[in-house]
Amino acid sequence: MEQHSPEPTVPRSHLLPRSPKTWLWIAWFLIAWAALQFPGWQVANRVEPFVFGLPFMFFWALLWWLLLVISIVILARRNDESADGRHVENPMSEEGRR
Amino acid sequence: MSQLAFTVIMLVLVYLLVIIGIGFVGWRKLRVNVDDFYVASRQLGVLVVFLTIAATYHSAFAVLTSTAVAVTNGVAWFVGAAVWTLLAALTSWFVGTRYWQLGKRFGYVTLADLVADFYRSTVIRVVIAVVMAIFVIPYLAVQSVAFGLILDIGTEGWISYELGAGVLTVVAIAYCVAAGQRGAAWTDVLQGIWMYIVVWLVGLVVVYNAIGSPATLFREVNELNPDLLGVPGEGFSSPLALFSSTVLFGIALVIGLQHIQMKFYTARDAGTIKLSSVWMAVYLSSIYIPPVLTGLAAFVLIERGVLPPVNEIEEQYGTADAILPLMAIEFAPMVLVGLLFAGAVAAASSTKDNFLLATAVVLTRDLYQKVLRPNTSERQMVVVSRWVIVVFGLLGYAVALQRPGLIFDLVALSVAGVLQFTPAIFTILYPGGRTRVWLTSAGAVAGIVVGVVVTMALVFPNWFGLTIDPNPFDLHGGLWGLAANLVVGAVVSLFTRQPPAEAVLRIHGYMEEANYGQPVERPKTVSD
Repeated sequence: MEQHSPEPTVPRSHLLPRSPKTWLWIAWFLIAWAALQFPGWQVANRVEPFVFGLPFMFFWALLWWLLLVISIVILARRNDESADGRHVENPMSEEGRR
Repeated sequence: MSQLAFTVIMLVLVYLLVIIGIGFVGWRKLRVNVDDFYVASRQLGVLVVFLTIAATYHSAFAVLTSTAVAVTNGVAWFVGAAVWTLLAALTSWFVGTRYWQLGKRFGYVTLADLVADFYRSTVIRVVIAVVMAIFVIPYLAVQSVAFGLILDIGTEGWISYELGAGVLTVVAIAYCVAAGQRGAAWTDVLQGIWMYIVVWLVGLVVVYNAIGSPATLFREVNELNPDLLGVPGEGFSSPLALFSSTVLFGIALVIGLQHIQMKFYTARDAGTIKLSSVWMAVYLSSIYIPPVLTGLAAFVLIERGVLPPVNEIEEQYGTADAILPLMAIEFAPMVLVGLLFAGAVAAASSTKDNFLLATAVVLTRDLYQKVLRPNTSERQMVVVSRWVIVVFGLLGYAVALQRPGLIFDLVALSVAGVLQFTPAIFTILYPGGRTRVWLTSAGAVAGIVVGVVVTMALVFPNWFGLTIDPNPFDLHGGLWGLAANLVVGAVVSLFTRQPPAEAVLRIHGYMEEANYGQPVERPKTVSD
């Protein structure tokens, strides 16, 4: 973990994630988004079979939507010490957590 | 007056009385200073921040227009909207937190405060404030249109479009003027809950009463027009059109438009924004599930001849938004119809009030205080803000009287305008690891101006004497504008002065400290 110094120094770049886990999270979100919308719908774009009475495309979209919502909740829970405001840190960063 | 008109008027009156009551309590709590009037002293908790952002994000569009859109787009509507609403929640998490951190540390109340502090430039402050004030007008008008329409249909013409829009505009102006940000945020809590419940309740009741279970509905649509159960991949759902909507409504709407951007300053701490974002992920996207069902049900009813075709509804009411109310009148208990109308009013006013307030803050802070009257008192600024709220409220009403159509397009235009701020915003919020930044003040200003011009030219080519289709290749004009913005910004930045190293180090250094370094000081919390 980088030590904070009172004198302003040039901070490291925030443009790229700093840990492998963060890369995995980003990859997962991109995959889920691609599956839900583009190019995922081209694979799932059909009415049959009906699943739970839903046309397949709608079921597919709801499924990935639900997975994404659950992912966001997990992301938040992993960071719950900041969710109640005790710390302020980037949830994508593993380096700030000890 | 019919029983329906009576029920609608009564429920809307109850709603208005409650809202005025909340506004009154907010007014009693108001301390007349800039921090309290503009950002509620940065003390709002999770429930209020979540619902105020959610209710502000979703306007009458979510309650009424979404059903009309789903009639022609079916399932594809949700496939598109789910992505941009979830992205909006993530954007709020990542960017919103940084807005809060910097706002708390350096006392910002507007977006231009942040940008002007980083670049030490008054020009960029004025450019941002002016673009915001201009592009907000279509959005404001849209909400007044909804006001007028709702009461016109709900009371079967007993309250005219003009009167309805007028009364509701005056109420929204009143509680903003009286209670400022706290009044707007508190009323949003009620409005946000009300509109969410109404969308689900009315949607399910109408579908069950009119068609049967959703499974029955889907089977029937499958026989009539199976295309509505898939994604056609053209028009609204063509890949580049969906990409455009995702960028506009998932990123720009949240970080660029003043009415939501300012909300990030009102939270009591950064954790509040993160937790609010999680709730937003659920709320913003799931409110678009019932419209798929009601839209498909409307399609079946139109095919059966129970409802008139969409173009006839448009002709009679000026917009297809009337579809859901017409279905509710036919297939839902009268109380529920009244709740729907009051819910639509809530959805429209929770967006409108925040726009009025935020635009007043932007103009007062960024033009009046920083440029015209640098020595003005805080009390004087609140007075000016209140006048701006009145003027912009009436301006929106005046535009609404012209009955502009195409709500979705108007909203997209507003968002496309502020999309042009994103290069500067990301340059400031996300350090690039060097003191030298790729975008200078002059580059940012040139980029924004070129971006806005290109956006307008490609959204309204005929205004500029161009003979091309609007939004070439299905990519929204705003994204073409952004591309031009990035190129011009980068080139101009090569030859112009860098922002002061002090500002870059201070702001980027604080981003490092707040996000990766030691915990920042936690503000004293006061229950709100």
